[in-house]
Amino acid sequence: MTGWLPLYLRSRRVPPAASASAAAVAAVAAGWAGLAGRAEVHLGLAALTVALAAAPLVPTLAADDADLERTAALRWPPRRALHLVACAAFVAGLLIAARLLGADFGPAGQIVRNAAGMVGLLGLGVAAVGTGYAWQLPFVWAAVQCLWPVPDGPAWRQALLWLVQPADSRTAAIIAGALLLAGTAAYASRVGPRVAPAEATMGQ
Amino acid sequence: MIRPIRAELRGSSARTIAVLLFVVAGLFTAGMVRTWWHQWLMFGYVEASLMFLVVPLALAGGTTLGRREKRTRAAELMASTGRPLWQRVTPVMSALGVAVAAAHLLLVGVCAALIGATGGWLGAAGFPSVLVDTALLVGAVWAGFALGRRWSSALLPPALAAAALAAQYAASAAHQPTPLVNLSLMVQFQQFPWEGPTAAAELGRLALAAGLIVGGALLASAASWRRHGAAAAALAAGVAGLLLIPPPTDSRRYQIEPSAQALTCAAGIPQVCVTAVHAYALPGIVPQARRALAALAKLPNAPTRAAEFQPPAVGDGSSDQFQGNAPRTDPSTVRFLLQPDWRTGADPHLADDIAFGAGTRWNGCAQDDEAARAAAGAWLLGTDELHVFDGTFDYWASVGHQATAILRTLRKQPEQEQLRRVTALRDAANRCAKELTPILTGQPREAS
Repeated sequence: MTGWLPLYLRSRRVPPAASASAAAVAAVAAGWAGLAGRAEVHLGLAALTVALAAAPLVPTLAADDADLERTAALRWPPRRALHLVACAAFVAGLLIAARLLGADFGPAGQIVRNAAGMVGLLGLGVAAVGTGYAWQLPFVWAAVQCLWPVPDGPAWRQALLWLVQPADSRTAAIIAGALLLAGTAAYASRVGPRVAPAEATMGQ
Repeated sequence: MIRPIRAELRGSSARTIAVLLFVVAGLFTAGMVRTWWHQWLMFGYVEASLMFLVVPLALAGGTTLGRREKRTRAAELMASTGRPLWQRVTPVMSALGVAVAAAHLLLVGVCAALIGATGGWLGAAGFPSVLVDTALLVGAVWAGFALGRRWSSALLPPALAAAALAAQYAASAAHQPTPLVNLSLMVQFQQFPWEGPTAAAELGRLALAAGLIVGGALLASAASWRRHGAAAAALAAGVAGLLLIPPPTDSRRYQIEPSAQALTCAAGIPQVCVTAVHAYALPGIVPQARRALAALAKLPNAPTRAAEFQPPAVGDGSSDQFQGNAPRTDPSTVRFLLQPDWRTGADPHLADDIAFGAGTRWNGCAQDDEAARAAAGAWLLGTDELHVFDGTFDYWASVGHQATAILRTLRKQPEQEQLRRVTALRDAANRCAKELTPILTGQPREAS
């Protein structure tokens, strides 16, 4: 495992993606701390930053050549599930660590919930349309929530605007949990539509 | 040139990007239908705000296509043709621009047709901003395309989209007034449906569009560092134009469009007039306005005409902007503010609004002593309650019990005395008097 993991991370280009994700969160946190003059980041921007932190990790969810990878004598579903959960943990960790830069993206529970739901949504997207387009639905959904950052209200609105709900919102927690579960299950079983061999060999 | 562009439109992902943008923009516009239904200039606000979301998506869409060209080595293949670089990229960039512009104009066309078909006002005032935003979208896909050709990392499209959105959002949260707020393409909501964007506000967006178009075209079609530098300078100039040309104060982003604010009157008497943007609602509001005019006619020197209030300046969101200490009265005309239901066009509380204070609500004076004004209105209409809304706030909810007591005292007086007191209240209100309750009750006002 110790020998496999570095190879896996390198083949998925995790180091540059993780660096981009960390740099994005650092830029928002430093910008907010400098411009706003207070630690509590606005709900809408906090929602967007979750998408911003998760977006660079999307390309790591697929290999250059899925067909080639499939030939390896490894059980991929648990590894993929672990990869997705690790992405959620990484995003949540970054946002919590941003307090060191003077930007508070919300209570830890809210950050973990949002990171889990967002990464689950990305997993669903990758399973459905591949890494090239998987970011679009989560991105648009996060953008809509940043435009209408309305906490509380009826259950349907809390479900629709789950990223901007308070930490104790049960509806938002259920939505995020369901997205993570569905995303993990879908991504574990499938990494997007089949890519034409001629295109796959050209690499990312 | 037409054939290669057509081939690119068929073969590249330009159409997919345009469809995606159309769907997202369509959902956003549909979600805000209450804001723009019947209202062309309010649609302009929705369409301009839409850029907040769609420009980052267009940037990412262009990047997707640009990096695909490089990733699939199509660029290398095309390089072997011996044509200059600008000729090689022109078909695909044109296809991208045409597809995105067509998608946006189609959406605007559908909404304009809906507004026109439902009787809403359509004027030339809103069209320049639509064209500027179309150019902005074309600039965004071109800039994205050029960036994708230069840096084909898979990280780029999502990172670029999310970064563009986050930068706008962070800028909009900055303390006003600072030019930084102009970085956000989300524009401030106008207070009245006859307000359109100023030339300065549009010029700022046009500068950004020009910067993106020129920068994108230069970056995609040039290999030399000098041209790349020029592309970066064009982009920087565009962003600087967006930041510096429009005024940073929200209320200065809009101006009154005279043709949208001009009065349109219903046939018959007494005359009832509304602004052109509310002309579609005339059939629904005329009976209510005439009911209120008939009630006001109980008073001597009563107005014979009801006309929608036409603010002399752009609204700043403050409820007392047009209600101060300077009376603006016209004895023959009672003014009212129309707040029609977005779907039906009806304003169920219009008669109450006109009768409030015996027709003095929009006479330029501060609306002190609301209880006495509500009581006078209820007396005129012969009702026990009077519901007047300030946005979503109902005056009756806070002053209802006082108004009921005043009304009860007033109705105990002989009829002629009741009439004299309500007339005296109207005349005092038209002089911007603050204490009106004693006029109706003959006793000092109780502290609320």
